[in-house]
Amino acid sequence: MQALAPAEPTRKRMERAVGLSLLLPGAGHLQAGRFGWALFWAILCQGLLFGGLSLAGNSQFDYGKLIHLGGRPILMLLIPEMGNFLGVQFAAVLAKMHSVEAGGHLPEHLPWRNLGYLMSGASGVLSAFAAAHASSLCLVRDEPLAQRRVSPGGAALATLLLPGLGHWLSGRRFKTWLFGGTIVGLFALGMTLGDFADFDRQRHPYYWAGQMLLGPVGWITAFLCEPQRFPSVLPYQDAGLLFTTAAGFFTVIAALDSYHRAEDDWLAAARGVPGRAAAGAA
Amino acid sequence: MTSLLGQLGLLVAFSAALAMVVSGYREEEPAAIWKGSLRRFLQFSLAVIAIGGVAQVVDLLLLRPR
Repeated sequence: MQALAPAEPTRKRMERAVGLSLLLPGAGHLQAGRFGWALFWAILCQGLLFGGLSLAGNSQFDYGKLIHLGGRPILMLLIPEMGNFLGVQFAAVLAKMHSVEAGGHLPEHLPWRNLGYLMSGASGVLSAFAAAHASSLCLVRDEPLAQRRVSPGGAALATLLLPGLGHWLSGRRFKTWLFGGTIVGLFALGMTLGDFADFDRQRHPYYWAGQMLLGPVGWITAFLCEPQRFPSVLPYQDAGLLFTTAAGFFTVIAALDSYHRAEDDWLAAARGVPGRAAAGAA
Repeated sequence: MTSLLGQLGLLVAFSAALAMVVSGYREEEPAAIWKGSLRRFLQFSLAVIAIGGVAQVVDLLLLRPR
């Protein structure tokens, strides 16, 4: 079955919305003419970023890389916070590129630093999903539908909220259980193998960036399991790290699928494609 | 300590998860997803077992101190 695609002018607007959103969450929504959403995403993403940096004493920057040009710092690379690109650069300038640790203190002295890491990391992940949301609002504006139906960006966001939920909203019950069961099951198995201590930025910063892609299921689990530490070297803790990180990446795959399928449904309904217009009605 | 059975069990779990997610992304109909999942599960798990087997042979023949 041939996938449908938005018209060329709409595609251009969608691409601009994604680019603007990745620079500054909310800016892409202005491109779609949605001021309310623009304000919501700007406040949410910047609030999480700056709130998280404040709770963790800017120690997030210890996990990033500062790029220099001619001896001058010009760019802070920090994953996954970089999804909120200009926010991170502005915060790095405000913090004078220094963290608590660079100032001679240990991050352990900050009791809420792990919550801070989760908040700033969530800001980056949500910023990337805000880009998808802004992009789909351009489609919604250019090819409106009379009946109620989940938008592509709404489906992607729902998948981030709970893997499988985006497919449920677009009427794909089988894929709901397939993605939801697989991703949450893999994450649960991974956490069990790591004795619920393997979602830890300080110990595994690169794995942590991948784990953050799981969304609120992972973020809440990490917050609840925060006091847990590896009591010893566990036999399958490496597999646990792999599984939980893979669950994060699989969430992105599921979100891409839910976006693409919901977009196809939307276009089929908007254009009245025979035999497909009713597919995926919410 | 890990065991061979434990490693195999984890390989089966991960291969199944990977195969189902990739097939879910590539296909739309449940029957096609199941069929693709089985094929990808076998491909991935057998490839890992083959690489593990080669590593074991290299270990026995070349790397182990005499």
